[in-house]
Amino acid sequence: MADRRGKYTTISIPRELYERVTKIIEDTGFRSPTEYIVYLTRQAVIAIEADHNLIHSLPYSVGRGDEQA
Amino acid sequence: MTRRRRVLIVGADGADPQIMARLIGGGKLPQLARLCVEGRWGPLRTTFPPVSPVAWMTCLTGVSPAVHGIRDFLVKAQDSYLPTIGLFRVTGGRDGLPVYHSQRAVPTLGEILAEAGRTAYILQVPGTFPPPPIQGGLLAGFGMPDLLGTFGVSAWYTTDPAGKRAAAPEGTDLVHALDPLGSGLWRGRVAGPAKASSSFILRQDGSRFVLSLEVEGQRPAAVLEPGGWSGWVRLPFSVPGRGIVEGICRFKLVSSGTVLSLYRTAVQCTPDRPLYPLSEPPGFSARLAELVGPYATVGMPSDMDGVRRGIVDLDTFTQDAYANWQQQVEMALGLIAERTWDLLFLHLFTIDNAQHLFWKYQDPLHPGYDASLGVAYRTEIERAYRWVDAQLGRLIEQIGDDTTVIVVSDHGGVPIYRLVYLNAWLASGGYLVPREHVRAGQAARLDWDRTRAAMYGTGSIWLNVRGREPRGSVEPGAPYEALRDEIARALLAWRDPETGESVVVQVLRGEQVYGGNTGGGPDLVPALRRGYGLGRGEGLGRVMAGRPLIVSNQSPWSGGHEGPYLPSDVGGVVVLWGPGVQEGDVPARAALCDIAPTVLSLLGMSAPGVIEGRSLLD
Repeated sequence: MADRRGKYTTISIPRELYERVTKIIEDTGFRSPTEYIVYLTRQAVIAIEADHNLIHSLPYSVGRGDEQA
Repeated sequence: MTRRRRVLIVGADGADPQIMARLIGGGKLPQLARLCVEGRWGPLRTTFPPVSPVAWMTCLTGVSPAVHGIRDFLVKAQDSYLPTIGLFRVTGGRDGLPVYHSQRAVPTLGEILAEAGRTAYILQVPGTFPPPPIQGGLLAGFGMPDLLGTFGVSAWYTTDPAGKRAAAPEGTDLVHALDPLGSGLWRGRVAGPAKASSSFILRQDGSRFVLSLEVEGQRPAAVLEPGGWSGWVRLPFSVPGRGIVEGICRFKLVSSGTVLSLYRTAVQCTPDRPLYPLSEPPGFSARLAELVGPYATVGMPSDMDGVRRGIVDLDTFTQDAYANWQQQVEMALGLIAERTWDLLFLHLFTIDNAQHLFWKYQDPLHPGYDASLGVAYRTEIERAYRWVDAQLGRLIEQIGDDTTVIVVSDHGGVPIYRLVYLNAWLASGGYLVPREHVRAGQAARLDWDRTRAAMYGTGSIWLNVRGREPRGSVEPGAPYEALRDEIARALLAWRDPETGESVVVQVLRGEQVYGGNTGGGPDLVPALRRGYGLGRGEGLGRVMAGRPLIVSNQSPWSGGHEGPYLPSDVGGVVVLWGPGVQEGDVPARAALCDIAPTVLSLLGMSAPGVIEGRSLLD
């Protein structure tokens, strides 16, 4: 349990949304709203990190700064 | 019986009508001179903003950016303040790797031809990632990431990482230590996808160095002479859920004296088993490798980012870039020989890259001009035009008399003498508020509760509208319009204190650029005066701290096209030659959206209704 407490944390979502998630995951294979929300969040984080990798490596003027102070 | 006609397009990215005319006049471009005399040529209107993926997609689809859906390198996300890539959509895959989705809203020329059962080969045209389906083959162009999912990140390995980082502070994350193992051995590490990594061993053997991969029992992968390059080296990465994923890169032994230094190109997808979708059909990229051997697959096959960040010198850059561009030409020559195509479209970044990086070496008016440094690089831009001209000659030699040739550029090139910081200007007017204090020369994030307007990408300004943005404060309706007018007026009144010139020549509203199809696009888009360009660091929706609003351009990026400039200030060029083309001029109205209907007309096909352009042969 100590390990689990260290590795996980709790976030809050509106109860109404939690109940809707509970309903929609019934036939998806996800075992709980938490598992589903973790899945969705992980997908979103991968996408944002991938986007970040791209925009920070743009060679053009729109990219990160390179002029010296 | 009518003979079947073919079309060869050479996409000469960045070819400028004035520079080209001057070089033709000086007898430097014999192939283009012949085509211009025997065919038709003239300036070509570009898109707004005039940047490659946006413009080439207009060339390939015959429609404006508002319709094809690729509007800038990066834009503000529709539902947040995050900067997001504007070329395609990214989602997360189950295995921890990104999945890329096309956001092109209309078919490309290759797709239109495929629909009619016609065959096209399209090689590395910007904006064609992810690759659309096609009959023939399409190799994805700018947008195609390297194995790390970036636009191409190189590396510098050295026994003196502190020294290199001090010399290239913007490239510190690209500098890696060569760890000494004793007895003339060093180890280097290479980052791969999904946090996987690979490593290599460098062993001194007299004046040479042998590069081996650790995983293969130190079987030599390359032998490097001082100043010499390796061939393409395959690096394995163990990626959870994917097994072994291989990437390819090349190494150059830059120095082997007191300090040992090794340059490594971006680790790229292999042509035979690419991690990300590289071609259509998927096997086409491997077929090209059978023609020319392993090749650069990243969409920008040159290390402009490395030059900007100070880790790669210009000689290393040009050696690598010309080797890659040469392979692209060889691919086209191999495909021409097959004679199975209706359209062959080869894109080359050569001229564009030279104008970005070498402008200051040939322009005494440029603040970065240095007569002593300029000697070696003064003719690099001319070299780029001449090289493209020579390759054009090789291609024309191989085509038959059934082939019409179109040479087309997406935009021209201009010097960048002065850099402007648009978000810093918005801050100076009280429209934008930084969230944090950062060192001078660094970019700060924004306080969105107090920011009313901010710039992203190539100069596009979004207002922080209530109900549209997460923490919007500008009321829609009359207050929104009043603020737009106020900022537009202030931008037009902005003067460079050093020159007295106005910085902004025109301010367009989003709907003027994108019609009724703004789709989350910007509210205002200023067009800069030629000679001015955007300072880096603000395009990600940040504000540069501790800087004058306008500075002299001392950066490696001494020329450009992106501005944002009015399309009339940085137009491209088109040359038409061969069957179906009479001597004369191209119409004054000629624009990039006319290229697709011109090709369709030459191939005896009618243009789909969605196409906005008209054939240049009408």
